[in-house]
Amino acid sequence: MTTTDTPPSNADNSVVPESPAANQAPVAQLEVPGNSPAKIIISSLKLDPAQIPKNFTPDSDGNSANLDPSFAADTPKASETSFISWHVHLKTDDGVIKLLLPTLSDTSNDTGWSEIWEQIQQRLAGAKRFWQPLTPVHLYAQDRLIDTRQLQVIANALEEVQLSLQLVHTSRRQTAVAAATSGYSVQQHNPHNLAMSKDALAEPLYLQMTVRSGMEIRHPGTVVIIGDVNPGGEIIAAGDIIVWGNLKGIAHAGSRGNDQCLIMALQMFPTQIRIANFIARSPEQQPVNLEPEVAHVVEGAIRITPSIESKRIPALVDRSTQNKNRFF
Amino acid sequence: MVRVIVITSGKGGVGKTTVTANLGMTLARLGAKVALVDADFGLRNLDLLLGLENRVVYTAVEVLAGECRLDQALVRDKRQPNLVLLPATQNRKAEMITPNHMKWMVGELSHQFDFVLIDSPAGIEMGFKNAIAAAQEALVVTTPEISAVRDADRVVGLLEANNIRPAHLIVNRLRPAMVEANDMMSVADVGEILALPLIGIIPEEERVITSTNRGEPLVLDTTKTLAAEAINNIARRIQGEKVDFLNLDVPKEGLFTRFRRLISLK
Repeated sequence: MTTTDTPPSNADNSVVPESPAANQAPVAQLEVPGNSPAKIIISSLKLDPAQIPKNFTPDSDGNSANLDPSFAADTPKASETSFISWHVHLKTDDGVIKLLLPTLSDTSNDTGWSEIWEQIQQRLAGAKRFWQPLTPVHLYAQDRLIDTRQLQVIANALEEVQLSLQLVHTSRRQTAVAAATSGYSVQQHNPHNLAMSKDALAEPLYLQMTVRSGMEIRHPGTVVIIGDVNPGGEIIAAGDIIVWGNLKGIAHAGSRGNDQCLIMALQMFPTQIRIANFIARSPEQQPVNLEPEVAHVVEGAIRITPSIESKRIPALVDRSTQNKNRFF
Repeated sequence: MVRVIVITSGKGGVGKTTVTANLGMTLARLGAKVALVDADFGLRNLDLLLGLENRVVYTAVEVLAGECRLDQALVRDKRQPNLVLLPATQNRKAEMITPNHMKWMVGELSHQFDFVLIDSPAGIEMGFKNAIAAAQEALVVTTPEISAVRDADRVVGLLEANNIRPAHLIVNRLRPAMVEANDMMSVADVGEILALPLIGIIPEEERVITSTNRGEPLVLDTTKTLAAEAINNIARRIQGEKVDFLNLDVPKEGLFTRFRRLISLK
């Protein structure tokens, strides 16, 4: 622990790695001061290519109770850009709501219209409270082909939440023609005009919804969920993940490899949490009392800290000192 | 020589996944190297039944998309080293799976395992076609209900059309007392319609519910149940042993019970 304001008596909050046997995941054990039984035991290991058995044979290891075949994985970092499909995005800007579709290069090839459409509906449902009725909407279709019928479907969906589609930005001539014939304003631009810098984080994605089994929220920035993340639901964010509710599914923060990212939840009992290329899972037994907690990476492992002690999390400490420096 | 067996039923909720999990566990305990393949893409459950949900990092879809190797997606069972699971994916990407994908994956697995058990989804659509694509043999699970038997019959026809034989029949969730009272189809009734060789009869067992919720297959339960014994016998029959079927007859009334009933009547 590198925090300075920690009284030594609280040091039992730190990671206690078991002697790491060969191929064995280091086990992080977290004890909350005052509560004698360990509240959360999380075994955690880095997705280290060195740990991958080159040839997996089911009978080769005597100590095969360990998780290597499943956890041994190339760092997600390496292949991240290739398979992450950034989602449909809603953004309020200057009295206008921008409905941004992912570009073809941002999504995997199999992301078809049905998926885009489902995401549009999801986003609209998740943010209903935040706009005035009849706010104009600008659709950023990027390099996607959108035909007249699809434009109509989008316009109808917007109407249902009392928004009105007015302008279509596109880099494709056919989409521009379709939009013009449907009576919307059109702005055609170069394909690369709008291309978001791949490294910059997008604006936070704010969703008021229950993330249910089979749902996957991917966002190139921070994700805020007002609601629960059920088992089988998955959130993958390039920034932090904040769940105002129960986190029971999978949360992957810092998906592009930033291990300073945090995962916070009112009740944290995730199937798995991943931060950058670290991974951890919950103990088999659900603890009786769950309190708001923060997951972060310390000394090569994911650790979970109660929120009341979150000031001791290095990532949070650093940010506050930076702010102080700016003011004085 | 690997044996690739699909567990299928047509109707949902008859116990395909439970049978797959328990059978896989039993075969592994008998010393065989077993891979379970969850072919129920989009609504996977096999990982839950085995209590392995929180160990799933990659699924079959990531393997097929070239994002990881097949062996990275295999989840080794936490109790039984001979057993691994190839999990299905939860999300939409499942639509990309084709029968050829399944053939390739099972082909890769067949080098390393003695048994590949494929848990088929309910229905006879794409998911079912994927599940049977790579299979050499089938286990048809049905319950003694008219709807389940009807669907199983349809599935048997499709299996025959796809040249998957032998197919064996498992009658699941039998209630001997109800059969006795003529309130439930008997195994003979089911067998007469489906005309498949019977490989096992599993009685209804309440503990299945607790074992499912705990992620501990029934066959690992310390309390011995008839259902677990029945599954054990099926595993041994699959391996070619001759095992007598369990006696599931309702015990005849003894002197004592008759006496007690007389008392309670008064």
